Amino acid sequence: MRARLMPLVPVGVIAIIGAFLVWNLGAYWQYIATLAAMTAIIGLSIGAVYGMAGMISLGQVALSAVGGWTVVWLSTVEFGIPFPYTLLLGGLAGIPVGVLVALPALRLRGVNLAVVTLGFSVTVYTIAINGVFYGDSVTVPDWLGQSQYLMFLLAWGCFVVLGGGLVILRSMQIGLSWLAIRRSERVAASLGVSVVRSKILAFVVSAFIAGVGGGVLAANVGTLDPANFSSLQALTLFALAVMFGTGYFEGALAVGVMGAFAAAILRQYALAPSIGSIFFGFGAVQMLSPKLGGHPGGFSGMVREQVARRQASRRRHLTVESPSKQLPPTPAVDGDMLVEIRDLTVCYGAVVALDHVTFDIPKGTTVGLIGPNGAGKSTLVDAFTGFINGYGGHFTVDGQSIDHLPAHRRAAVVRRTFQGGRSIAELTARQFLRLSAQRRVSDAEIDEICTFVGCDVPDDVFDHIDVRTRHLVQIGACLIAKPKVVLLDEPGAGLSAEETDDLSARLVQIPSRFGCSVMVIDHDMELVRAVCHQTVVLDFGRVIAQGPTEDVLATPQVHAAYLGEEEVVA
Amino acid sequence: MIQQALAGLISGGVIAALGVTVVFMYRMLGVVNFAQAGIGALGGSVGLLLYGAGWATLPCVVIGIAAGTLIAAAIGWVMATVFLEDTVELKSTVTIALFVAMLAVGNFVLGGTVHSFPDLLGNASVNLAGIGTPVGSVLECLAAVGLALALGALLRLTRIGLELRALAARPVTAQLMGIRVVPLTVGVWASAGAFSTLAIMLILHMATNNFSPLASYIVPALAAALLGLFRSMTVTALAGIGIGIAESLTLTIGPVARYSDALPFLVIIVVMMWWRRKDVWADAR
Repeated sequence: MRARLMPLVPVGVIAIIGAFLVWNLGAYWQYIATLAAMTAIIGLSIGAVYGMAGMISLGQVALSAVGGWTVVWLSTVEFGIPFPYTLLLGGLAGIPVGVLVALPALRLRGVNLAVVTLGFSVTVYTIAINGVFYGDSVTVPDWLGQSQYLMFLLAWGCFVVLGGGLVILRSMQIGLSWLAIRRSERVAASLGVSVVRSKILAFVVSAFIAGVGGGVLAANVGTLDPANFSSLQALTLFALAVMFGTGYFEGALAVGVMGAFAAAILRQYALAPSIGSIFFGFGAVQMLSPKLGGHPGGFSGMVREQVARRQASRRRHLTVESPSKQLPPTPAVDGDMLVEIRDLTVCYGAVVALDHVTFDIPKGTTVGLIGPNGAGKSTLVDAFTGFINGYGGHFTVDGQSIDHLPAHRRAAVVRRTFQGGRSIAELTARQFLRLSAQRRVSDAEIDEICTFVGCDVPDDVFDHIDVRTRHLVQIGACLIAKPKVVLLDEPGAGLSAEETDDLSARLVQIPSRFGCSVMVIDHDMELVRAVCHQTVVLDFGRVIAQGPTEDVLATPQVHAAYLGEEEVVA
Repeated sequence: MIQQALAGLISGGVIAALGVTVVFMYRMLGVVNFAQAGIGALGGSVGLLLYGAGWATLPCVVIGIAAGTLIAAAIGWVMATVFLEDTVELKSTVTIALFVAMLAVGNFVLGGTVHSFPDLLGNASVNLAGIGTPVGSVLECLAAVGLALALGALLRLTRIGLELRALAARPVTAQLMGIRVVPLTVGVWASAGAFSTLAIMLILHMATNNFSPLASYIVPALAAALLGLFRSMTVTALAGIGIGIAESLTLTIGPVARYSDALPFLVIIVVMMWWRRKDVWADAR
């Protein structure tokens, strides 16, 4: 606990020094410092939706306009709600609009979403300049109205509360799921994350934050000016967010300070404030390319990575299990079927990738799925885990049909790994396992999984873990979710003979230790022979052999499928 | 009513031309160029300043287009050498950042001072079935559609089109096959920059003291590109002309006239959501 609170010490010291410095400044600079808080809050809002969930939204400034307008409106209608509380309502007012913006986000991705949110931003600005904002001003209590310094403290107080909330969210399932979606929607869904729900939540949270930010602005300036919500402002703040990395607390803080003070200082020296935007634009371009010394997490992401690298060697290392090379005897198959695959057919246009594939996976067993490249193995995994719409045939797990379930709900019974691995760079192995569990798990439980799969550095981020260990953690991520069946897509790819032995020794223990069945896809016949009780062979989308592994591997058709007819005859 | 619709042709043609170049760049280089109108507006600003300094119209137009072309070529060179293998999202984010810098430069150069520029399309109109039809705007729209058709034909029928398509599909493979990626990328950027500058110069006389409205033409142009699903240049051109007409028509409807900039976009969001309703997974396996 003490170690966790340690990073707060420098933050507290900086806050006290900052508050003291601003206390000694005149009212104008206190006003600018208050504007900086509002800009930093918008930075947090961009951080949630872009920095964490990876969605390019240019509409956050427009969402802050909604909050600002609400706070102004509540001042005029005499509902009897005093000012600081109306900030909360400003935030809440942003939410339905945020959800409205999120709806296109469910279908329009990446750059299309950027286009639509830019359009949203223009729309709000058009409404703003046509009179919605003119005239009325925010009524603040006397104690606040007479002191710019108190307004400054209130604004930065809002930033600290919202930023702190985002830091907490980042370590919870919801924040981890945003990071997963940013990496890949498929990976997120395969970990049991509802992509739709997470995206909407990202917009809800960011809209609330932006709404409060707009309210703070309204209170600080008195009367809202549409120029605060122009598309130029939206784009500039986005560029600043890219540059400083607002997915992190300190990045948003830097956005606020740079955004507000750069313009004010330039004005002070009779220079055009737009000079700052030129610098921010080029700064963002530089930050977007590692070749130019940039970092995907922005400036704050870069600093954090260096700190993490320095701390990596000091972290606790787990002692991992060294499984016995002697494989346990094959458990008897009692004939109870866990998975039934019936008449599975998948077509990509005219190409039939899977043609009436039918086989079973018995309880407590490991089944190998082999076949030459292009045989349809990964397509079968995709169909099973819900990533292919409109396949023919049926999947039944433990007597229940799963055909109607979306990918993230299938993850409750069937988990998969991806060929070549798909880890999430900025998560630690521990966070990845916690996200994958989709339930409360203790550190001890995570450590146990790590020692089983052979990961000795659960607190290192994936970026600092070697590729082999990353693959092992992804197998662990399947196991911690306690599914009924685990599908491992080429777990042995790229391993040395010794590493394959080690992996085999771990894989054979899975059915008895975790109570699930396993399907292993691999080209390494030694691995298949060592871990699979049964094997199914696919060729050109059809099952050409199935049965006990040794028998199947000895059949001439299997040799022919792998080596070609002539080789077998020779 | 028809007169009002025809009045929308002038900006419709500009939106169409910008939209077509946006789609062309997206298809060839995998980048949604948010800075497309910004480049045109920068080139236009150069022409505007020269005209203000007493130069004749033609040299102003030529030098303005050359300036837009050069700026675009310089960005293209950076994109080809630094961001070649990056994702669409990242490359497009780069253009957003560049657009921010351009807006700042443009506002710095044009801000506050009133400049003047001639109407390049002229006021000529012919009477067709009792309706005064502005010749310049009609030609401009036809040129935008022609540009879409010509670029489509270039891609389908010529060797350079084949190389461009290879570059679009697999930049690194194209490079390994001996296709000269850097000159081609710079060429696509430069030509898109030239067309955008020409398009912006056609409306330069309508907004001579402020950079932002010119650069903001990117918004309806992107909307048109969305309607063309970032694929069909002809649909994009027609959608661009349609948006111009729709914006002009909304000006006649009392209560919504002030919000004409906003309306087309709301429609597009609905249309897009309907078209993409079955899209499920973002990334490939």
